Amino acid sequence: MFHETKSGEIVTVRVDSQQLNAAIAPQFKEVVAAIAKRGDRNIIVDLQHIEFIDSTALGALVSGLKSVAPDGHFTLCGANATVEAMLQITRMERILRSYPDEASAREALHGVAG
Amino acid sequence: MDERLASVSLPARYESLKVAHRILAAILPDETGDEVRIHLEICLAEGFNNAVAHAYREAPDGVVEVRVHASAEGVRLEVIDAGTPMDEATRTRLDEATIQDQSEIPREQLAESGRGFGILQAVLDDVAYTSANGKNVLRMTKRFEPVAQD
Repeated sequence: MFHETKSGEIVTVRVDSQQLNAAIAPQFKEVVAAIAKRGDRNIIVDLQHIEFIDSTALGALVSGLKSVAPDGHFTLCGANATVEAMLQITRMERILRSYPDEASAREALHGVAG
Repeated sequence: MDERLASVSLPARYESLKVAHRILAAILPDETGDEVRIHLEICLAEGFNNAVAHAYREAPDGVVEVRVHASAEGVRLEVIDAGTPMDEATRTRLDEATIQDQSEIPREQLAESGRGFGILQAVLDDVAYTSANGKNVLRMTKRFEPVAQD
């Protein structure tokens, strides 16, 4: 369900599900909290397989953002039009930054995270 | 366009949403723009998942009925359950929900829940919840923009 890879100072969590919803949101929160707890500060959530997200899952993404260190980064990549619309409607698009793919998210993080 | 109406009764489980979305896609007029289509999918999901998570919290065998009605004027979605009705405080939250600009809120103070009702109010033209005779109905209406005549 959650595929985790670490490269350099950045951990990428790919969600291998079609829906990021209330059914898997608790598990997602635990996975991200565990990454943050062991000291990793830069997390990319790869949503390329996600077709749909609900507000409970959006809350889980906010939880992920809050779990990283204050100087850490938590960004999204691979979001489809529905996920982007969700960020826009909830006015979260400046809080949960979203990049087209993992490469561009990594590039953005290297710019700020060193 | 002709009026179109579809209704489906589904097990109160999150995975049933895919079927509800297929019904919506089948009923929406072909000329519906992507933004409106996506917004309606999101609202249907919020209404449906709310029934699964709250109305049927104590009754996993519940059934949620979804009705989709489309006409030239717009789309009406109804999510109907026979579970626990929303209490007064929740109905007031539904009626008064808004989406605030989140960009100035310190990270640690960002809310991790409670956005669903705000999404409905932000996207839809009308949201109404009624409960009578053991049936709870969440009615969500989106009116189409009038098309300019040549």
